[in-house]
Amino acid sequence: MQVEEFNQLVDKLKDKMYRLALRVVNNQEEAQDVVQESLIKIWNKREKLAEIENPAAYCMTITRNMGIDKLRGKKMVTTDIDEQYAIKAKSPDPERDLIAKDELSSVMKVVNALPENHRTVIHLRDIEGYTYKEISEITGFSIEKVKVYLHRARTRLRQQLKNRAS
Amino acid sequence: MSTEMNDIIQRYWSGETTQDEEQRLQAYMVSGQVADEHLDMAELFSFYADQKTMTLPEELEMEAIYSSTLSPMDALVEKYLDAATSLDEEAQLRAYLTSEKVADSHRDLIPMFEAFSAEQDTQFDGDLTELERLQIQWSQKPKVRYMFPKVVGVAATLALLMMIAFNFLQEDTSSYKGKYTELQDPEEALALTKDALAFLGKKYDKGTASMKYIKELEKTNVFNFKN
Repeated sequence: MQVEEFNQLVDKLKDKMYRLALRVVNNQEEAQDVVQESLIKIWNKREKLAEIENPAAYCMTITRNMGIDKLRGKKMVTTDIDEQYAIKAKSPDPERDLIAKDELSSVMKVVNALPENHRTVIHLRDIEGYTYKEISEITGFSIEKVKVYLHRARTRLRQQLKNRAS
Repeated sequence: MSTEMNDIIQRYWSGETTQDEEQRLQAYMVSGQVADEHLDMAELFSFYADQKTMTLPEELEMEAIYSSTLSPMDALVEKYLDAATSLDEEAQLRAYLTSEKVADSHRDLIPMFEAFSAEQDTQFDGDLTELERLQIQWSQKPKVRYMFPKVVGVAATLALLMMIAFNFLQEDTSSYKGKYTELQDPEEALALTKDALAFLGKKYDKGTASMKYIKELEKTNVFNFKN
């Protein structure tokens, strides 16, 4: 695989890889490291990449695995989620911004508190819009297991958001 | 048997039986050899056994269950939570939750979908210099390593072709020279040919003489494979 071809793939995937890494490690700096390390690993295996049926899924799998490795090797340090949303939600109404930001961060706090496999599956489906089959390819879980995790994650998320609201 | 069963039944009603004991009890109750004092209980176990065989009618799809008991949007939300929705249905749900007509019972889902949507905008702005360095290093490497096998292949093919061509041309020009002598005198040539034919004839006679023995052998049926 040539540099141009590889970089096209990277351009298409790097944000998705970053978001997945962020979901797994729950820390911006470490998520950036995970993406960087994953891309280097993929670059070193670029010859294999040409033979793979779904290179995008392969890249996402590597990202998730690197994220999990990073997660195992450290004590859980979570980023301040407000910092993550600090740049977003800019509108002429600062009060509304604040409410919106609070809502988003509280949802993502609940998502990030889910077990890794649950939050990865809900992330891949509800944020990235992958099919059950693609999620199965990325995570290595069976399609049935993907659906079970997704069901549990969504139900738990909704329940916790309801509890917060009341 | 009856005393043992009485003991199990007693403990069954107290909720103290093990799973094994309950299975034994069940087998006893449907065996047709139930003691008179247990007949009233056999009816209950027969009901349980009957319930166990109940299955969901095939024509009754989950879709039908969702829609028969719930409003279409309730059904979609339930289906979503059950992880049974398609991507299209999830897009439909997203559109509904961002519309003005969201039912109160679904409002709790709005922040969830808004957060998911906002999350899609998160972009990677990390450092990729190490990757770029590796790519530059790779691009600047002399291509000999990659060209080498091709160049060697082409050179080997050319060498082989040249050797074949050379051998062919050599053979073409010198194949008869030195090996054979061309006679200029026709009489001498005729005499030589006669000698050669006589030599061949001698060899032929020898060959036909040995055939006689074979014919003799054929008569003895030693080599008669037809039988």
